[in-house]
Amino acid sequence: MDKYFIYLFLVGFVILVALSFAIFLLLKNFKRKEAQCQRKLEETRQGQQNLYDTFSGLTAFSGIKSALDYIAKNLQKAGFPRVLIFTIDKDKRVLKPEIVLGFKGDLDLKTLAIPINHSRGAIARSLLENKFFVVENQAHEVYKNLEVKEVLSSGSFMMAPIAKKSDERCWEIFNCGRTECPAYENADPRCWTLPKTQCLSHLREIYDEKTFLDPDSKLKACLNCKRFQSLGVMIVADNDFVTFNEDDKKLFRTFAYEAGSKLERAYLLTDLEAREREITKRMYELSVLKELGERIGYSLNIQKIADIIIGSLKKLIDYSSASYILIDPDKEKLIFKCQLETVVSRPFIDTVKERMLAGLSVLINRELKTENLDESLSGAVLEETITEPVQSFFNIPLTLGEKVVGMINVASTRPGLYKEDEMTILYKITAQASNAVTRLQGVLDVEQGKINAMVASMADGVLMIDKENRVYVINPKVKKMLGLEKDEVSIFDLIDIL
Amino acid sequence: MEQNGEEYKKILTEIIQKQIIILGPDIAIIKARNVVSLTITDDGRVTAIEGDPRPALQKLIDEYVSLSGLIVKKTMEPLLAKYPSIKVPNPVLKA
Repeated sequence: MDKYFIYLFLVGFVILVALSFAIFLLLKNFKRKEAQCQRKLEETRQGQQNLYDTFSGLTAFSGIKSALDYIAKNLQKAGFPRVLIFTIDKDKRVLKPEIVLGFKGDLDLKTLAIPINHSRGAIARSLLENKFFVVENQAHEVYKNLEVKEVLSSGSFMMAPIAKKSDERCWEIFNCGRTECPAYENADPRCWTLPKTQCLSHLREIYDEKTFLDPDSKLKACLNCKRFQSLGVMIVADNDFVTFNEDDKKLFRTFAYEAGSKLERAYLLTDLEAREREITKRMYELSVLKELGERIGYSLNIQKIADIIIGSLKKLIDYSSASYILIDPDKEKLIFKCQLETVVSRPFIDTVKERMLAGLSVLINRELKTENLDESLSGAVLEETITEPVQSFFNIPLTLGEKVVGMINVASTRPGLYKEDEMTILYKITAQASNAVTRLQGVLDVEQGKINAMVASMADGVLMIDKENRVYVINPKVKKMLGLEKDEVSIFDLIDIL
Repeated sequence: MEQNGEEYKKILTEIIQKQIIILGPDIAIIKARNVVSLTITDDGRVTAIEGDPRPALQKLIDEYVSLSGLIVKKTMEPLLAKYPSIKVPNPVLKA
């Protein structure tokens, strides 16, 4: 009996120990799973917080590059160690990497340019087809020939297009009623992938039929269209052969989705800023033109106008010298005037003259020489010890109607000084002054013609002599009365007769 | 086609070189480089044309016309006479 109880006690003890151990293991497992869940929750919260921080923080950025940089760094914080963001270069029709973080060989990647056409790999396809790709297996057949795989040197990566959010379809944007167009009410919103769309009929004027029907030729036009949805492509990569879980994929897709709308706003802001700068430039141009117009007044004296223009240049542009050459056809000579803003040398002035004469000679198709030049300098002095040559300059031809009457030159000893905007404004100002003078001359010529016709047809004789005793007006009636047949009548002819 | 391409390069180079003398290299080359399909050296030579050269030629003319239509008219007419096989897609703006 005792043995039976001992035996029972031992079995009970063993069962108890086994149960305790089992409960211990279960509890441990449970705690491990709870810790895992807690970690996952934290990561998700962190990811969402990152997402929130990323996209709420983006309102502070107006620059596209800084917005992309901010998104990329937050992607890294969210657990993606390598980030690559491409944007579109529409002129060259390539995807160029704007942000490269965490990759070996950063510099090589920055020179990467992926052509945007229908025959290229997954990055271009992601852009054109608006598709999300996950690559987790290097040996995966579909992605074996990806050129980016060698560059990324990674077995696992995800890519997603950064796309605008607009749902408006092409026929809605352009108010198009071409129902025969393949894009019209097509279930596929990606009209840029559909061939022979009617929106491009104007391209037939530029491209031959074969080029026009080529999908990549169409793409050239589609990239610049309002409807084209993609702004770029975002890629994240991890260490080799990592498998992305569903949360990773969801987080990344959400990042890409939100990045699209924020980038669209960044592009709009950039565009608005550019327009604001353009308007400011035009207003400045108008104010200078107004002042010039007031100072020029109704003058037909081209030399006075040239003096006013070069006198006003200080407000617009830096220079060492501002000069003009005018062709005086009556005296068969050239008038050269140079306003010096800084001390220069004689060779500097000679170079300015040579450049202006060379330009004028080509324009009027006649060799012009310095021997016939009347020179006058004003402003700063010439100094022989100064050796800086002409390093930047541009010429502005002066024209009246169809005739070239001279040249303005702006020159400096500083290299690369003049920007396109500044030079273009001066060309416009000079052109507008020339046009104003040409129009005024035209009006005066018309009025002069009317008066001449009226005086010539009068039944009464009209003779006018000025203070210098020159015959100013003599009509045919007077000539007939006095028996004068000459075209040009002088005071002496009248004295002889009278 | 190859010969035609070379002719276009020559006429484009001549246009730019003439504008360099008339307007100066700074503005002439800046305006020429606004035509993205052209590859232009620092001395104004066109070394490559991407795609159809006709729109490139028209765009280059338009760039200089934006400065002065009369200058373009005076410089283009003798050049176009020298290359009769080359047709400008749109007429040169009358000054």
